[in-house]
Amino acid sequence: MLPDIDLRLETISTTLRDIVLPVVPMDESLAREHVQLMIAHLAMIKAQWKHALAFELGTYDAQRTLARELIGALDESALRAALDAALRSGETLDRSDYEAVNRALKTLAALLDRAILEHNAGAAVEPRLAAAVLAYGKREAWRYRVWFQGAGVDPDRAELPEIAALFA
Amino acid sequence: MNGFHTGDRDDLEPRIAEILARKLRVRQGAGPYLPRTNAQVREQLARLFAARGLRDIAIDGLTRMTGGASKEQFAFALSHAGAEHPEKLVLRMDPTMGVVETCRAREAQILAALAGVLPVPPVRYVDRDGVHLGQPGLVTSFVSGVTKPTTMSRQTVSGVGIDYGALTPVIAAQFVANLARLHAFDWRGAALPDFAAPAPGTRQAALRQVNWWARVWEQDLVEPQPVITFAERWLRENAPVCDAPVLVHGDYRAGNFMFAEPAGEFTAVLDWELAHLGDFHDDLAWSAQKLFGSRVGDDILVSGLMTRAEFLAAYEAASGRRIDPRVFHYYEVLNAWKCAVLDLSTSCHAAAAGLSHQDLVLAWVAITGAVFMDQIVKLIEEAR
Repeated sequence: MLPDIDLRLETISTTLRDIVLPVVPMDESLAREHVQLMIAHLAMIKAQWKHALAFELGTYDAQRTLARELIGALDESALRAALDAALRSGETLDRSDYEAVNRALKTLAALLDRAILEHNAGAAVEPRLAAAVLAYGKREAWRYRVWFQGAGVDPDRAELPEIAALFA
Repeated sequence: MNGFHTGDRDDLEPRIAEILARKLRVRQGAGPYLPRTNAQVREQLARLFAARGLRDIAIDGLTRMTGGASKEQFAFALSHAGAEHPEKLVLRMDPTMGVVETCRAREAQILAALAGVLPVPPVRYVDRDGVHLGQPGLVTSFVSGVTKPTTMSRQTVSGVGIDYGALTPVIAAQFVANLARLHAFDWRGAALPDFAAPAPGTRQAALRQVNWWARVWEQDLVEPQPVITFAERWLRENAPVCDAPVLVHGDYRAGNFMFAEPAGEFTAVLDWELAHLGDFHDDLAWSAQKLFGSRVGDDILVSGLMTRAEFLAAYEAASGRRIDPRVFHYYEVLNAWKCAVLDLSTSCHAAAAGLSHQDLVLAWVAITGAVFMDQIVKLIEEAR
């Protein structure tokens, strides 16, 4: 497409930096801070937008793996049936539709939440379930940290690969 | 893990429960929040001061202040019939929703109680329920000072990544001494009517924190996160006993104190909105969070000031207390979880609904949720 998305993001960013920011009075600190944050967000979006669907699919697929592991730890119940149904409906999900993937991800995450809270209620979390959730959390935290490394806030950002490496 | 004790999920401090309930009422049907204009703020302040009995009120030099991710803040000079000279003041006021919902009256009570104990801004006026200001607000005296060296050119958000340069040792010593002094403060003799102390010798100090932030997560949820839910269970199951509750600052770190240049002397400890009565390990673990530190080589310096080992040793020396590594570790998990809750629920919710004067800042703050999720997993794995 012409003009492409990268070009438009880039020109918005340079406009903010070279045209808008210089004319915002120095004592308008809230406005100045926000222009700078807009530029920083745009730089991150430029690095992320091409991979947004793949990123959401990564989370969704990891959730499906976790759901299969948790189902084994659940007694026969309505919750187990709901998780089963969510997994089955995922098999026909349109994986090219960002919105649909995001909706499916939220539905499954809500069921996973219930499973984590309701499993073995009143007693200790089963070690197998704890290990599965922590393994999922470890992978997801890593993916999120790579995804948002452009913010420069991660104390260990030096250990993070480029975003593209998540999808290699 | 020990046996699973949920406790009473509704056991919150009564004022905190009120504030969280108020949040739901206020945001229902609220349109996008527009930053207040100087004219609006001037008019609202005049209404507050008139209600407090001042006459011939003049508000001059009103300037918006930046910093923080939750409150709208303004500096101004107040003149009135009873004052010989204009007084420089600061207004700290709630938007419809910020990164946290807290109570301006509690903040005012803490500042009043600690006057003469720690460097804190003197409280001048409070609008507890926003009757005059439209939203709850607090007016304090203006305190001179900076939160980061003026020579530091790099941008920081909410105090993260400050480098104190040559002032580091001077500031580090005061950072520890003030925390030890705070924890030695006899809160039982202070007027803190909006605070409820946890019962000594019970797990209530920890569980009330879990209940507070679990309710926030539930109220502001945007997208469920299995790790956050799992961590809540872990925190309930592993809550330690607190024998002697202290006054906890709740957000004691770089960016939340001011100092004078060039000497580096503290002029104010700021941002008391998360203060509560609880376990002293709570503050230590909060200050030591990785994200609030600065990386120097292989070390993460606590608030950019000293290594974690140096910080904990200095605190023990200054306070005479012994740190229990197990309790400290618990509060590391609790605080990483609390920050993840704020980042991934409240910040995202407020930004998506346009309920703050700085939604873009909230969207930025939310990014740090990934770092806290990583910490939660690593810390819980260490405990297994």
